[in-house]
Amino acid sequence: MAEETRENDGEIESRIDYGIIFCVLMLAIIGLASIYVAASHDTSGTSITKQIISQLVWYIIGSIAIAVIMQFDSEQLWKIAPIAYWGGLLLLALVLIFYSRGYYLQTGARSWFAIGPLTFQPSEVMKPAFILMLARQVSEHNRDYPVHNARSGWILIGKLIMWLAPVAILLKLQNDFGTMLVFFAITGGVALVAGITWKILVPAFSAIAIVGGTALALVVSDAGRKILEHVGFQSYQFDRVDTWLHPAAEVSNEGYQLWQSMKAIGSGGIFGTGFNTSHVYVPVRESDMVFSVVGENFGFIGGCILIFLYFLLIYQMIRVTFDTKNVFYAYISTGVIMMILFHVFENIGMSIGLLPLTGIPLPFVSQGGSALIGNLIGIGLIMSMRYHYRSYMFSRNEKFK
Amino acid sequence: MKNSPERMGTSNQSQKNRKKFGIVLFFVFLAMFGLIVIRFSYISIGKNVQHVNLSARTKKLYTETQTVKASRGTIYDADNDAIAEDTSTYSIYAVLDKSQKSLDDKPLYVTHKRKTARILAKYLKMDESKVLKQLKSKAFQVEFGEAGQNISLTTRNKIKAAHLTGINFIQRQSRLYPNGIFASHLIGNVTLPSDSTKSMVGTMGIEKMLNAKLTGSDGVSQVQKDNYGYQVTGTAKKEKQAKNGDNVYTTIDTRLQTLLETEMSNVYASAHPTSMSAILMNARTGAIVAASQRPTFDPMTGKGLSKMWRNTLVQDAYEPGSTMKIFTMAASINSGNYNGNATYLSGKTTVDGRTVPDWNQTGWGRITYNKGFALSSNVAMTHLEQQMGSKTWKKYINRFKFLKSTKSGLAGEQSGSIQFSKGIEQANTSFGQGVQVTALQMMRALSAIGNDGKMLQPYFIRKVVNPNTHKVVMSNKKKVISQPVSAATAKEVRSHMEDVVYKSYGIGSDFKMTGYKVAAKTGTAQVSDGKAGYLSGDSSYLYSVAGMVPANNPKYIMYITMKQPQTLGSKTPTQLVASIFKPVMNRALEDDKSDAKTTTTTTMPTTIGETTTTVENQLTKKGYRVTVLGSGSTITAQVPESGTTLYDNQRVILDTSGEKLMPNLSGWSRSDVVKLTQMLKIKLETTGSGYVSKQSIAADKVVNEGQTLKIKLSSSN
Repeated sequence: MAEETRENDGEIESRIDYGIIFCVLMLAIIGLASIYVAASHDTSGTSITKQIISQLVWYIIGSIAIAVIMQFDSEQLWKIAPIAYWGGLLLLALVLIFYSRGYYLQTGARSWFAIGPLTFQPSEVMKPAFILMLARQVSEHNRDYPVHNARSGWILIGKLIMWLAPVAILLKLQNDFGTMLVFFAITGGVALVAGITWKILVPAFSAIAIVGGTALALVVSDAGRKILEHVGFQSYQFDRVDTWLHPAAEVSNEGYQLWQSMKAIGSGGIFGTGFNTSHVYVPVRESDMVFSVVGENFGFIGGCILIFLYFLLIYQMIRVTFDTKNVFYAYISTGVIMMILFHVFENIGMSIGLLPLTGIPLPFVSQGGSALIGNLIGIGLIMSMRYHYRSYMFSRNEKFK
Repeated sequence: MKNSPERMGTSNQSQKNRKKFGIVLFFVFLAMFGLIVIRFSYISIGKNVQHVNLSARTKKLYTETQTVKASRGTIYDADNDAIAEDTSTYSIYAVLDKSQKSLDDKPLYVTHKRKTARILAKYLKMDESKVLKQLKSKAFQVEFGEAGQNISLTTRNKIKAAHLTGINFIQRQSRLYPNGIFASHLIGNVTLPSDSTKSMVGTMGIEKMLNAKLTGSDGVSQVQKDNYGYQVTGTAKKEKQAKNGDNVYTTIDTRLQTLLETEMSNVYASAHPTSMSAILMNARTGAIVAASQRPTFDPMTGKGLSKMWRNTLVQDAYEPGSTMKIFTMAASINSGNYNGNATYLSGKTTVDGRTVPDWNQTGWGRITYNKGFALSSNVAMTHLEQQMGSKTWKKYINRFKFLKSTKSGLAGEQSGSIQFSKGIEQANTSFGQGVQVTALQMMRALSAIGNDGKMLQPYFIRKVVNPNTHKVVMSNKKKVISQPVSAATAKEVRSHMEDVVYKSYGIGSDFKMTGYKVAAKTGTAQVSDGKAGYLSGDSSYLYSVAGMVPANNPKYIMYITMKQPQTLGSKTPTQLVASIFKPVMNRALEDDKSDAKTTTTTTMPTTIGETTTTVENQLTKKGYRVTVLGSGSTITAQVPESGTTLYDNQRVILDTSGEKLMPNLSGWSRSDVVKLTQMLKIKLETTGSGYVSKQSIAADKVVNEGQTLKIKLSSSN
């Protein structure tokens, strides 16, 4: 053990993934700058400095969380997984009772706790907890069923759904559709790498594609909407789709936000209007619509740099996934990648009218403490892999000796 | 170590999957980023979203278009006072859902149901238990039916003052009829739009007839907005001007109309007839000065509307009865067949084997035709009809334009009908049975007698004026249609009508007036039962009178009908009719006299900013009743507006600064009081109709904004 400790001390530099830290740091700076722009142009109750400082404080809290999580090795994470999952589920249930009435009136979702000036969205921190639990379940399953045939595949899918269902139901009750989609994306990603035979995966995912395609066709056509209304869908749910399909048609309520966002990005042009110069008001641009700030202030170039940063970040996370020999880690990183990837795509996609509007923040950039903590915990999980990578290798080698 | 990850082992399948997934993910990821970048460049470089150019949109960024509602035209009386104008009313709703809370967690739903029910019941004039029942329902929010609609600003403010949680109001454009019941069926009413983007629609009377002109067209304005969508002040740019609806100027004289309504109400309340109508027309111009009917309705509340939708002026064709004899007489004289001193046997006669009775079947023995007319003898008319022949009689019916629409423009106008094939039917028409006419047709025909043979087109709209251009869009003046009889015939008929009133045997002595000679013809027609026969019994008659004053050169013609009075009391039906006829006719003639003295019409000058005492003296000298509010030396506001035509004795209210004292309102009209309350910014509650007899705030008491003035109106004569 003495030898190992020495080795750790010497290698500590290489055990920390500076690429990931660089990306997150850059995104954080872009985020703070965007929030500053949004705050200085929008008349809200809180002052600019207060908003910037509170975001900074969340970054610090998140960084501490990363540091703490990096200390956990895979064995500890394995043990924490069920505690985190059930704890998170309890919070999701509690928020249905103790949700913030003010936020509910504003957003229509019962997903925030509010204690004094502090607000907290349990579904955000549920994401890493859920990833941990899924990873553990898949690992356990693969241990119990070493042979990957159709039967074991179906059983695993059943298990995944079983763990997803309570979260999905609670989020549905909270009326938070966007976050629910994130959990679906995580589950889908983990299912793909879980070692389920392709005989199931290909038909299953094509089935999902067909169902999704049919649903889209139903929503887009008038006749289809009638059918959906019979099944119990509400007309406001179609409004979002309409907004997405025809952003210029209806610019009063739903569409206003999207239309303003596109106008902001459009007015940015190639090089942007310059820092802190805004001509277009976009509602909630400090949070969900933060990409419009980047697009307007820094133009096409700035937006592309932001997208490239995400690309870099995710590329590095995929590298980690490839490198690790520990399947439990692999599943965790897959979940984290899916989580961040989905956030990025959905958020930027909706800002530029590529995808329907959902209330999903842009990771590491949007204002909002809970989401930031959730994503930083995800980063923490990835970084802990690299951190424990060598020790894991040693311990493994020792075992095989 | 049971659960340790080391023991899981690495499965090949999983690792293969992972590798494949990693590669797939990487490319999917690349593809999606590519897609985003393409879309992004499309927006930020191409500036084009779904064929909508973003650059153009960015220019329009700070402007927003807003609809500017056009206001509906005002309907004015003969003195240019408003009879119908735009205003705002409120409808009330109560939020019951307990989840409705404000951001600072204050309840936005009804918290004190009992207290709320008590207060609402009081102001909405509803049953308290009913309100409470509604408030206890499970609904998200409740409204309170008709009682919760069309609430006045005054009532809304009273309810607001109680500070009830969860009680909210919706403001709505509405129509104000300041005189209440006032020629209601002729002026008409409007249905209010279901949402604020639509306009009111006239559903009756002039409101319906001239709806297109009254409505106007909504405009569009462009408003400059700042970054946050707030309007930049002073930048409103009208892209399309709202065109306010045209103003309609009627011939209705408010003083006479108010009096007529009062008298009609008195008779209606005491005798309970099924229906009544009364029309006063200027005999020299054909202008309808006052017109009323019962049952009527209050256009503000719609109360009473369900009883009678029809405008009986033109929409009811009925058998006029004995008033028709005026025209039989005129036809006989004009065709040279009349010999007034010849005699006939009264009581009854037979035509085609059917008996034609007089109202007094025993008759009055052998009498002259002159006396027969004064006694309203059916037999006399039958003989006159037979003497001139049915062809001649029919020719005169056509000359008087019975069976021809008056083309008043009012909806649903009838043109009447006649049964004229058999001899008995022809005889019946000579005394007003078997022929259906409308009241307005009757007025038109009567004008020929009153206006020396020249028949006039009755009209009730003087002009329609576009308020934006001040152009007269439509106007009516005195118009002679034709001359059915000679001036001499008309004069002779009138002298026979005088006999009805003044001869000892005449049956119209109830219509004698002091100071004026009256020419009149009463009528008592059996009411058809709607099938082939007639109703019988005392309450089965249509009583009517057609009168012209002064008899030698009529200024006014008045025609009143009263159908089936139920409780007569001490008065005969004719006396009841006369109790409407005489006061209204008297005031019309008296007003004419005073008008004749000051024929020069003046318009209201602009007095704002002028010295109070100077203006007061000037206007008082000219014969206007000037009321000054406050003690300031310069005038700050005035009613009526400058440019309004002033009539004799018009009330002029001038506002100045300083403490305001309540004037003595005795004898004021309701509309004058309304103007006063608007100026004083106080609330008004009225009871009764006519002119002010009592006021809750005594004269010379200090008045403060927001106070409530209660007045009692009653008929002044």
